[in-house]
Amino acid sequence: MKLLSVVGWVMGLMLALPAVAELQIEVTQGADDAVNIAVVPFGWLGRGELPEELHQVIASDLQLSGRFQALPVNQMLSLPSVSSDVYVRDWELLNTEYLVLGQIEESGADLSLRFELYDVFKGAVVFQQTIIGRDRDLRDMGHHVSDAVYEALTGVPGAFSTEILYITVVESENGRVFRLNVADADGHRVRTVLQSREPILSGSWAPDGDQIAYVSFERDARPAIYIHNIRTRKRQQVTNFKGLNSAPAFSPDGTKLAMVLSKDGNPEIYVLDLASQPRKLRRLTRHYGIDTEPSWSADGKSIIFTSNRGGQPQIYSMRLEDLEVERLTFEGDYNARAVLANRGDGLIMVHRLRGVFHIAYLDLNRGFLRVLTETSLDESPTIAPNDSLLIYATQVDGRGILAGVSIDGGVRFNLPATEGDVREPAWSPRKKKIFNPIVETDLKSADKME
Amino acid sequence: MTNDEQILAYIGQVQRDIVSRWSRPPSARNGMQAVLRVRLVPTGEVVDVGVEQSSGNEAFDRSALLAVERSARFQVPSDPNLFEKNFRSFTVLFRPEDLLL
Repeated sequence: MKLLSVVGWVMGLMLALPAVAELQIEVTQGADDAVNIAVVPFGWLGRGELPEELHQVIASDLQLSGRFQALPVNQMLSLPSVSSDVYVRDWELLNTEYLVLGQIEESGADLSLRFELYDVFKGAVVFQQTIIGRDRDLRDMGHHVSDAVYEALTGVPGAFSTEILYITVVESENGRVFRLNVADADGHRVRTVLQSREPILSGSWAPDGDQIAYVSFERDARPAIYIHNIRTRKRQQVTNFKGLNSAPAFSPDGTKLAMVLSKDGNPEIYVLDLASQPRKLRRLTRHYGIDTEPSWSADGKSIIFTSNRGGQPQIYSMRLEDLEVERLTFEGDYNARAVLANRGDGLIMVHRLRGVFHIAYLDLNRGFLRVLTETSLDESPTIAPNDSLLIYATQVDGRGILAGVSIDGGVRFNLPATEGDVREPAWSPRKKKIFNPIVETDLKSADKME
Repeated sequence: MTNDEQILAYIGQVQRDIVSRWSRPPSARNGMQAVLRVRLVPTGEVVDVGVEQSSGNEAFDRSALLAVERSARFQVPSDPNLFEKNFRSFTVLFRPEDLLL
């Protein structure tokens, strides 16, 4: 339809202006196929064998993003580890558009990884980098390569070097066990931060990516909020009020913690100032309805929350300056657990459509709402720091798992399964490990010199 | 068929070729636009393509360039007059309307 109208428009223009107008063809649609990429097994100049196959880490990252189709190694016709050894025809035959090549060299205790992104169509290197790490950093180095390749080809920073916090519940003969786990964004390298027979809920990250907050019922089976540094393993209990202590959320500058308390009657939203001594607690909402699930605007000046003050759960925002409340959602009879996305232009939230819970995106400027997921009982959406992917908890065959979807709805994936029921994922705001590339010759200027 | 009708048929084919090869990056948004200059030889092969007006988003520009480069060869009128007037050198406006964001 669109194509026809464009052709019609072009015809109108050409009839109106014969001979003079230069031809302009308008393209308003695309096919958006996944990009064919080959991550060739990296060369290894060192003793023994490497503990990780880096090309597998990278290929799986890129594949998981849904934007790339990685070529299986057994289909590759040659295995170059530097661009000077690339025979372009080998890859053209396979329809491969880009190559990721690399070589790891042992130098003392360090591993030096030099990698290149190669454009098969142009027959040229897009960029190259060298990073240095240790044996134990190999997966991090792989995620760094994935991030760099993803950013170079999509214009969006990769989020493969980040981590995910989530809760698992395992039923055993001796009862239920709750675990608060941290894993790499690809689901690997799972570490348990806290284990308890009593419920653990609402894990969330501080902006530094080192501290987390959560609710644990470990003391007298009553809820309390804790802040826990997952690197130093120090933790502190920050609330112990009568009734509900729930849904902690750090402010973007990390100095405040929003939470829900019912100490004054029904659930209301409070902000605890972590920087003040003693810590000051400010009550934000005052309503006989339930106010819960606070999250912050990027500038830290407003709180987004769920309230049933209008009769059904809907999303509201409150300005901290004057406590002015604005209702944000109007479509549907259930909207909850909202976080801001797309640079504050939209909300990601749980939306009930015909009795089924989905994750939806609400464009706050244009007012339209789009359901992103096809699963049901979807809950707890959390956005990657690159603002382009989100993960959420859902049910498959009666079991809780984590699934992901791109913010435009175009890409869907499931995260690798773990034991038990998985709940309440939270995406870390920062990369786990940052590698600073060693500066090399600028390739673009080198090209020009040739 | 008049000349205009013929040209329109060829334009439609060029559009379809590019649409089927245009894979937009996740940073693409409706309303972005880039204009590419395409130069062909009379056999329809692309001999040159460049960005005439950038969208300001490098990945978006690159995706548009790739869509034309991947097309490699377009069907063009065999009538030299029609070819010279319209297809020797033309521009393509990339302006997505069907993205979700």
